[in-house]
Amino acid sequence: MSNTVDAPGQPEVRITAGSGSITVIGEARDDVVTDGHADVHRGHDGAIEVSSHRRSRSMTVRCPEGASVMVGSRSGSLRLSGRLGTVRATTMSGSIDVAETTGADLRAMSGTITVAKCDGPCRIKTKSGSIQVASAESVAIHIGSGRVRILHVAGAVSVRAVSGSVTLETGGGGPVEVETMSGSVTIVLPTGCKPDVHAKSLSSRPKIECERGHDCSVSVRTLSGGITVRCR
Amino acid sequence: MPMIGREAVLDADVLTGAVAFTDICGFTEFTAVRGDRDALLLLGTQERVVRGCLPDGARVVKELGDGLLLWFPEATSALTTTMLLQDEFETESAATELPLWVRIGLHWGSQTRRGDDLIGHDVNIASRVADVAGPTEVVVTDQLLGQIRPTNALDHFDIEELGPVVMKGLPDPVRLFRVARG
Repeated sequence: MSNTVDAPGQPEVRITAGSGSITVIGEARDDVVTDGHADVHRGHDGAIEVSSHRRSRSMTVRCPEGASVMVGSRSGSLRLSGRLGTVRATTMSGSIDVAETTGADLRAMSGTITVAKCDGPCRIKTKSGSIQVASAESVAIHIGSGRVRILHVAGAVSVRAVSGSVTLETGGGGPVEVETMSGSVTIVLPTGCKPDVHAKSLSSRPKIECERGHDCSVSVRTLSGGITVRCR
Repeated sequence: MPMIGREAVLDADVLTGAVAFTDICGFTEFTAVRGDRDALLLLGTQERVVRGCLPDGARVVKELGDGLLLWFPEATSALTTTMLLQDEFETESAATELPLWVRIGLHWGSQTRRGDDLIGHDVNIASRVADVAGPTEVVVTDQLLGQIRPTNALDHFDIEELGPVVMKGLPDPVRLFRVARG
């Protein structure tokens, strides 16, 4: 049993935990260290394996900046801070909070998911709970029920929501596709952007408050809910 | 052991193969908004697409509300068929405006036959894997990937590990992978 493994460069770190909060910190260092409640070793495929000793203990894992991290947890909050490579995290219940990553795949059965900065593709799936992405290169979201709020996306956006409101601000650099069963959809485009909009709601007339053109493609479909497309 | 239990065990037939669970996301909400008639149409479309894609030897084991339990005798055809299913579901969705938002979980293991049904731990794992998948996705276990022959059959796909995933009712985490068109 060890709490430390040398891991120069940008290692792949695979973390398994039961219940309890998990904090992963990407920082300037050449090893992977835990706080004593977990075992760390190098797996047969070269990845660093971290597993908690007990089913319900909080755990902190420190790893090199740029490390790719995979986390599987039963319940409890997942907090990934500092600069990390690709982050893939799943939890049965509990929040997921990511500070800065080069790509993300985040899945929760229930719980809030927040991403501050994702310099690559950001894929999020939750059955219930809110999602907030402050900044991402591209976004693909699947949500059962809950609110989706995206503050800035440079490229493509894809959202499929069963119920709940969707609000997104996009840089207009890629196609926007939003489909919902019920719930309002608001899309905010850059000032002066003239989008090619295809919007359809079975319950109300879509409000397209910007001049149409071919600057970017916006496709919105909802069975029941209002649609607004406007410029900043 | 009561006699009825012993007979049930003796009659059991253990299979090895791939089990897939499909599930239509948002089916309850869709039914609430569009009504029972459109809900039946959605279910019928799913079943038609599935039956049209199943290879020889594979079968629909049973319907589960808005989902299906499928069985395949070998892993490669299970993976290629479920990927084809997602393509077909997307095509149908675009053509009909029926939201066939189907998620699929796939696992390889042993199953015990109970009449026409299949039960067992590996069936339960496949069910939980489907819970992790999002609409349009196929998510598989490492056991399923380990059975793909020839291994270069995977060259047609992008395989992305999701990590060790802890799932409801299962004591140990399972390594899951998202499969997408390459």
